[in-house]
Amino acid sequence: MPLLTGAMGCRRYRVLNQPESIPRDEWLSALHEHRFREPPSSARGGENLGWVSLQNLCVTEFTHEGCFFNQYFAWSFRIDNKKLPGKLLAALLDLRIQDWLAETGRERIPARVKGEIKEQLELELFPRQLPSVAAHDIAWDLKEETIRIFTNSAKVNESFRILFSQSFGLETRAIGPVDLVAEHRNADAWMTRVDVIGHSDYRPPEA
Amino acid sequence: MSEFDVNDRELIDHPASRFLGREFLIWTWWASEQNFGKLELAPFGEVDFWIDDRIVFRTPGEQPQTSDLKGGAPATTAEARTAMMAGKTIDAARLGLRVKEREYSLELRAEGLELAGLKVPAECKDGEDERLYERMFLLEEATGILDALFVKFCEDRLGPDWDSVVLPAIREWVGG
Repeated sequence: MPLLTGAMGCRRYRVLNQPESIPRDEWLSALHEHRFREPPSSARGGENLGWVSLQNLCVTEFTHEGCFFNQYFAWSFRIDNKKLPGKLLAALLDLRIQDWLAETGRERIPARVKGEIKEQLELELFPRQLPSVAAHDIAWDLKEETIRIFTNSAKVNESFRILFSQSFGLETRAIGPVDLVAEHRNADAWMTRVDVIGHSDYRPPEA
Repeated sequence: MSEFDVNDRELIDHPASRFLGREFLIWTWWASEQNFGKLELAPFGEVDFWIDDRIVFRTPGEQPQTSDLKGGAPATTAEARTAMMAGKTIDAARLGLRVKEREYSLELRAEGLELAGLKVPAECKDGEDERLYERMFLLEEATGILDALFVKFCEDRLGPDWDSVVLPAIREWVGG
C-alpha cells in the first residue's frame, strides 16, 4: 500500500466538475456499487476489477471512518488477473492431442477438436489456479479537486479512469506540463507562447 | 459511458506536451549546477535540488534509442555530457530535493511529469490515520516543490530572454 508505506509512484488528475457540496454517503454507495466482486465461476480466466477498502483488499465495505481523512477520500483499486501458465498449457495440450490421435488412428487433429480439448483443459486447470492480485491506492483531495492513483501503469490508469467515471459520473484530466502552464496565473501570456514555440536545440553551436 | 481520454490523449494533444517535460529536466540539471543547486521557491523557502543517481537519455524521433545511466553521479560523467552534445533529450531522471531538514528522492518522467519511486523522509510510527496524513503531506510537499521548479522553468522558457540569454547559457554549459 504505497499510500501508507514504501516508495510512492503516482499519476495526478484534475477531477472535472466536482460538486461544491460533497455527497459523502452517495459516494460511499458508489464505491460499494462498483466494489470488487469475486467472479461467479472459478473455471474462467481473465481480469476482474473493482474498488476495495484502503485497509484490506478483501474488504468491500466502505465507511466514513475508513475512507474520509479530513480533505482526503481514499480507497483502493483491486485488479485480479487469472492466467494459465502458457508452457504448461501447451505441454498438456500436446499430450492430449497425442492421446486423441492414438485413440482415433488419425494423423491430424481437426482445429475444432483441438479447440474443444483446449477448452476442456482450461476448465480443469482454472479452478486450481489463483489469480495474480494487485491493489492500487487512490487518494482524492476534495479540497484541491485532484485525485492520485498510486501506480505508473498506463493500463491500470486507463481502467481506473473508466471505473471512476462509471462510479461517480465525473471525468478526470491528467495533469501534465501544459496543464500546469494553463492553470498558472500567467496562463494567458504563457499559453500564447506555448502555442507557438517548438523544442529548443541545446547543442552548442560548434557541436 | 463516455470513452474519455483513456489513452491520456490530453497529455500528448498539445504539441508542447511532447517536449516541455524533457526540456524541464534539461533545465533542472543546468539550474542544479548554478548557485550550488539552490533556489528560493515560494512557499517552501530555500530548496536544494540535484540530479541523483539516474538519467535516461533518448534520441528524438518516432523510434528513439535510449541510454540509461545509473549509479554514482551520472550527471557528472563525460557520457552524460556527450549525450547532450549529440542532441539527446532526457526521458527521466532521478532527482534529489532538500527543504529544511527533509530530503526526498524521486524519479521524474518527462512526459506527463509523472512521479515514480518517491522516497520520503522518516515516517511516524503511530496509527494509520497519522501515517496517511504525514505521507500525503510529504507527497504534496515534493509535488509542490516540483511544480514550483516547473514554474521557474516556465519563467525562463516562456519569458522574453529565452533565446537571447538563457538558451545560450545552457548551450555554453552543455559545451562545458
